[in-house]
Amino acid sequence: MASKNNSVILFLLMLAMSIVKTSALVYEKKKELPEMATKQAINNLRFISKDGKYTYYQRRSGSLLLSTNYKVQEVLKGKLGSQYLVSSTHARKKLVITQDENFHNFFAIRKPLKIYVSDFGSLSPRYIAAGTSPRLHMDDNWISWFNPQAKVINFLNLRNSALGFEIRLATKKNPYFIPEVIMSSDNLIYYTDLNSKGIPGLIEYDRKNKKVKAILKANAATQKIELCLYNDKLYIAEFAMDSAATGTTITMAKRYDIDAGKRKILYESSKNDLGNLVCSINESNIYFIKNTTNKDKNILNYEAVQLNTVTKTIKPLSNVKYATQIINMDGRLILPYREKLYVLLGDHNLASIDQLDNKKEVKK
Amino acid sequence: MWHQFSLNQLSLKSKVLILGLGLLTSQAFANGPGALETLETLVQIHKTQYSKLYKKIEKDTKLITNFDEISDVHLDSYFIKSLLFHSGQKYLSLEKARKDECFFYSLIENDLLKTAHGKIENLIIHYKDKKKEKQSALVSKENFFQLIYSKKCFNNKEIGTLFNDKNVAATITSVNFPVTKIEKECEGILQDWQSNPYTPYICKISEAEQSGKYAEKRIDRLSSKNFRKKRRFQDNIKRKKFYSKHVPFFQRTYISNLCQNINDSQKFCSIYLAKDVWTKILNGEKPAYLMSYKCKNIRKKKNITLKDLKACAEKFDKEPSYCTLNGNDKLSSLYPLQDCKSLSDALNKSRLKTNYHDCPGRIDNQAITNIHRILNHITDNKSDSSPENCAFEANNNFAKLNFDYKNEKAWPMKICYINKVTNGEVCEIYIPGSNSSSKLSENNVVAKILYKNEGASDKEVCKLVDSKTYNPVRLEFRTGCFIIYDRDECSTLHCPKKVVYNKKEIKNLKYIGIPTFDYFPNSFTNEKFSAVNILADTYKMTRRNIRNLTDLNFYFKQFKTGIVHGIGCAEDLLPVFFKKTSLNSCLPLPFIIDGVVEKKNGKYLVFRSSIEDVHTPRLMKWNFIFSAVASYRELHPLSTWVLYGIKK
Repeated sequence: MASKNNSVILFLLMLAMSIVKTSALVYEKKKELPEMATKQAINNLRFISKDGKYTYYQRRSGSLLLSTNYKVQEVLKGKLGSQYLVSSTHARKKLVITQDENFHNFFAIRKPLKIYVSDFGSLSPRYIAAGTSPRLHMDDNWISWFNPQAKVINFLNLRNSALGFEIRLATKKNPYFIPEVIMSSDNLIYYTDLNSKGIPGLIEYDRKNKKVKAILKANAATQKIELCLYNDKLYIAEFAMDSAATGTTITMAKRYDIDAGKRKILYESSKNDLGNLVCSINESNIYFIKNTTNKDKNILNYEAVQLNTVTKTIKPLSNVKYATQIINMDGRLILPYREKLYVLLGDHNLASIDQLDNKKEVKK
Repeated sequence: MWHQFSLNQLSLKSKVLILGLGLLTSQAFANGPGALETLETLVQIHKTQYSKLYKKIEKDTKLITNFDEISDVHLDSYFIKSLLFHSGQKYLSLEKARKDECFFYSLIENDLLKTAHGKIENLIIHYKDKKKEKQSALVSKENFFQLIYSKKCFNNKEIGTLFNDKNVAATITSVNFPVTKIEKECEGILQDWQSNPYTPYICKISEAEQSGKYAEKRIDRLSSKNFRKKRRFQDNIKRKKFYSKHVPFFQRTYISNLCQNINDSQKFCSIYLAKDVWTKILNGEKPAYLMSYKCKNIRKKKNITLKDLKACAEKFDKEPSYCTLNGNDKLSSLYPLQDCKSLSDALNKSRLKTNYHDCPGRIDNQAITNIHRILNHITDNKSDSSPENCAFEANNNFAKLNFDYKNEKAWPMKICYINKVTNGEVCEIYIPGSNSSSKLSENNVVAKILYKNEGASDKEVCKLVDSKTYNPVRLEFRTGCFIIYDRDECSTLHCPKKVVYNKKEIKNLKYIGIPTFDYFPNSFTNEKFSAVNILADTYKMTRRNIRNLTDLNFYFKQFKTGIVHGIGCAEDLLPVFFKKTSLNSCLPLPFIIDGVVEKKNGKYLVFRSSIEDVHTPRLMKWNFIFSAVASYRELHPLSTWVLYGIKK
């Protein structure tokens, strides 16, 4: 009789455990990534500042608008259907705005866009030049952009427009190559280029002495080098683009003393990660798209991950299976995926922020 | 215990072995030569005996004409033995050859069997004459078959007529040469051929090709005194050339494989069950253009031979990484390319007709490249593309499509100059690139302007010259018209050029206009003039929206020539090449999907973006395409899902 009772108890215990486990799994499946909630339709949005004070969005009419403190004002006007992009750096002093007036009727990856620079919240952006891939450097005091046809990287000092220079790339192999560009100092520039065989390299340009030096050369043309600078740390990542060249290496070097041989290895993998490195959100973490394909099932899988540069541990941030890009929007890490914007880091509910400000205004 | 057991066992085996050997040895010594003699010795013995017989009966060479008076005709046993010893086993091992007399005769008739003296010119026969007396004779092969076919095997005579020199081309075209990828089916096909009365007549072609190849290699090494052999070699080469001319490549390859492996199903089937596309191209199963343009580029030749294709196929098969770095030299496109293995998988399932080689990096508007590819697929166009004319081909195709549709505003590219007579600005439509036959090609338009404005001859021809080649000091550049540009820095949007006429730079020419147009309709008002509508109207094409992978699969199964095209964000399609740095960033990229590959880990689509080499499709998961098209839809003015299947 006692043994019979024991069997029943054991059975019930096992049943209970399986229910708990199933529930946990179900809970895990249901855990969804936070979607960005805003007052604007997300496909019109172009930039929201960290504190939510400034929202840039565009209209079909071709205007770029700034919404702040319940006021909406036009920043730029372009042709019907113009496409704008707005980005910033962690210095948070300037914004780079690009305008493409032929976005829907001239599909050219290398077409020059109109590049503007503006202060945060300013309504008078300054026209810089026509080009692609604009970047702010050196505490937002410098801007660089790329001319893909002439294969020239241009630099301009935003405080003194008389100060400017250019770097001509050697690349001929890949007409769609976009170089990585970092200004370590006013005189020291790091950029990527391809040699005559299409193998990427990291080049140091000493502006003062007009000297060019190759710091690092990839193993094969089927690799890419990505750079990311945050304060005094320069992250150099090598990603493979093809099954022929395999693996990923992410290293860290000192901003003012880049010695390829003395880099600190933060991450190595035999799988081909996609890359798209983001590093300027906080001191101890960098973010990229990792290949999370299961070895046994061999079904392709990519997710956004966080790499802790101190502990060198990887933490998955997404669960969409086919992540391809992550964006740093003024300190928020965003995963754009299938008509949705998932906020992986930072506040995602942006619909309420302006209201708080308004209440404060009213109180005043 | 175990040892004792094993020993006992071994002892028993040894006993059996020794007994067996003893029996054999005793037998050998009892019977004399034959049991233990080598085959070589046996053959040699027979050869000697056969030659003796042949010499003896040669004195009795006859031409038999009175067929009705002859009966009981049969081949001499020594002659048959000679056939057995000296003919290739592949034909004699066929069951039909052993059981069917007529089939056996057809093997002799088509020179597939040999005697100790080689190719059969004469046969030793026995027969009964009109007096019913047994006779022996040596008759010519021709005479023998006249005799035999007057009495039996009438079918052979008819088949022989079908395969004579006059009729062989038509007959081969009408014969079915089935191919299958399924092993069992392939074995069945071979079995059918083994019992097909046509087979000996078909294999004659293969043997003629083999003999011809052998002769070609050796004829130059023959001594000048060896007239007989030289004459024979020349005849063989002539026969080979005859069949090369009259039998198409696919059939010749098929026949060669069939006859070389007539008794070996594994070898016969191996090339059809071959998985790589390179082998399929070589054996004619897949069109040559899938490899020929890439091969031409790699070997830097204007025309390539079968030998070049074989070398390329071998290279691609043995060195998969080779394809990532080679095949698009001077035909600017996204780099690196795909590896040969995944390229083979993609091309195996690809259906896009690509009998040309374009250069996307020289055409800034990727939509023009995509339309050029769609047009070439619909019209099955072939062109000898080169780095000099690849840009012109694509631009011309697009411009012509619009001009024919009376949509000139889609092509605003013009060269403007100040007319010296009227002092007003005049602009002429042009298409970038060089082409002697097109009035709108850049070289012809500039020549026309020089004629009108600079007093040049109306026969003046301008040449587009790479700045690296141009040298005014050289005689060829001292007179005439040259349009000098840097090929490495030239695309639609940006192509700094200098026009020089008789060493004088013509400065007042201005290039204006960039082609802007709706690929898919961006507004209801301009729907008619979107590129897809013009294509549909001009070529009577139908299109269907593709929403998911099931749709796409079904579309490809239903329409064998249909392809799918669309626009997606490059950052989602090719994330390893393009990075997003801002919210809602998107580089719209037109693309074509023309096949589905099933692998163990899922389905992959045969994908060609408009910035990649047309001969290097990549395998892409549906999920990435879905994400890319969805991202572009977010920004599209009409929020259209721009992924359509199209067919004529």
